[in-house]
Amino acid sequence: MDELTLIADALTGPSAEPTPAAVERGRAALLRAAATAPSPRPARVPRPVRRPLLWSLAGAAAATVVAVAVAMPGGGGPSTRGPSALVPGSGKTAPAGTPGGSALDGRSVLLAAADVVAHSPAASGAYWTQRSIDQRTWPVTGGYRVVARTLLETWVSRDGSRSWFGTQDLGAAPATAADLRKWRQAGSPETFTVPASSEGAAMTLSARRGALTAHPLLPHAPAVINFGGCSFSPAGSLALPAGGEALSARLRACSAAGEKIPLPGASGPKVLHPELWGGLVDLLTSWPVSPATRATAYRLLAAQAQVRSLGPATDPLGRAGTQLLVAEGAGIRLVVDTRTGQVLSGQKNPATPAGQSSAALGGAWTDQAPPAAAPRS
Amino acid sequence: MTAPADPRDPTRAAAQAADVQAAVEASIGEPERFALVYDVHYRAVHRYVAARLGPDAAEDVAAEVFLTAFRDRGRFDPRRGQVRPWLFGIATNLVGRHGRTERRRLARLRAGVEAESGFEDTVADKVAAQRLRPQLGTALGSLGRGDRDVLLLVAVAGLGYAEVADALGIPAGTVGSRMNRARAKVRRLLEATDAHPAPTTRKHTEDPHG
Repeated sequence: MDELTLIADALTGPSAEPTPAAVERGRAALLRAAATAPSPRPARVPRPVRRPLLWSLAGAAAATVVAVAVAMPGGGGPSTRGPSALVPGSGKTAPAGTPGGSALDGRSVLLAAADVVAHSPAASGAYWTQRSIDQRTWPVTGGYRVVARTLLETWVSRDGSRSWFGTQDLGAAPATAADLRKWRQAGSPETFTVPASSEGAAMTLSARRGALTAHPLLPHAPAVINFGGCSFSPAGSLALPAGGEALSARLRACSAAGEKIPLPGASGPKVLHPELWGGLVDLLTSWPVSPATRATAYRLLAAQAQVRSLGPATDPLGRAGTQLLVAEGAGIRLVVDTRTGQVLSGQKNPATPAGQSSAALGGAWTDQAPPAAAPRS
Repeated sequence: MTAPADPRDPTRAAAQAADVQAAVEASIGEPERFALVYDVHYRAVHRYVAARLGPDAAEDVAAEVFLTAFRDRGRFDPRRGQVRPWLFGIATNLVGRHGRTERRRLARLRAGVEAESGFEDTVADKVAAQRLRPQLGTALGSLGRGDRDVLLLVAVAGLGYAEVADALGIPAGTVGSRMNRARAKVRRLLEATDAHPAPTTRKHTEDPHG
């Protein structure tokens, strides 16, 4: 299949079709306008449509500028960059950043996290939530650049039957120290104007944090977890096996099912082939699994992939952990909280030239329902 | 309500295009005649807007396309192109005013939260394409707006190059060069999905316990 067909198929599923009610509403709106139209007004520019609800900036709190972990490429083997949070061999951990811990290589960090998590109680809740952060650098009026960050969050009911998607602007802040100086020279404004460009119309960014708003996804949309040819509900993910061979066999079966997915390209048939370690990274970062399954996944990953410790780091939310570089070619970066054995964040794709990047922030169970959707007007 | 003519029947499709054009011109004096434009083109416009901004924003924006076209009907000039590219030009203009929604849509595709599973009875190709949404979200997000407009007007709206030129008010040659650039970039990025990881990570064929 050529890429044009693929694009059309990928972007226009059943949910792209209007409901009969939507067709009727749109037609009624048009006929109302026709009934009240005196005569055509010449040369009208289309008026801007109201801002979508997702971008409501109501309830703004003070902007929080969070340090973003800067991963250091290069250097190999055991990290010598600082104390690790782990006390080797104890099976327990010291608080992150405690001096006196010895540096560990990446594999040891994974095995220690497996030990911690194996002895953790199973968490539970009514909803599984996954969060991620998108950030992007924008040139703004005044000759400097700002980084705008947005939190994306999904909630899925335990049985996978209902799901929600929410977003929150975390605020924009000057990108570098030089940008910070220019921002101060400009009087430290709390809003930034991105001029119109080939990327789109002009827009305003705020330095303030916005409110979290969420809305339900369509009933058939959930499929919270996709790997290769498999989709799991949270309950299905919890039922994944804890044995090493059984878990890797299951993930490989999903991977093999995924191989049937053709990729476009002139040079013969191509297949999407998620590697086993890719599934393990996904599982550890964002799947709801039992402590035993999680511990097994850490041990499998330690046996499967090249892992290097980059030392203490903070995730995009400023939480402290140890940063690991998994599989150097793809450059997946994980920040692991060695006290709890949880993955705090995972970043698969390096930032684009436009300064756009995305990091997963792990998942968690909660009993708290997603914030109510703002009503459609 | 008048359904769109089957494009496989060129005679009927051409006759319907002529009817729609006549309806736009007649709607200057008889506004309700504009309903034919809606009946013939609404679904395709909705589909295009849904592809670009996501299903949630599609209803409002698609309705706005027809209200805008209705208000602007005095400016429609058949010598400058047909009704269909005119409507998709308006739709693309409105999509451009929703840049943040589109970026959000692309972020959702990248994050894999816009999974679609209503394809039980349809072909495997569509299911396969749906699974590439994260990669496609990344690829589309890396394109400039002008390149993305051209690519999606062709791929999703099904416009020909001449129609895209009419819709965007740009020369046909520019359409061709934008299209080539966009296709090459998307193909490269989708193929890159298969290209990594690096050879050092291809250890998965060995059983860790074996």
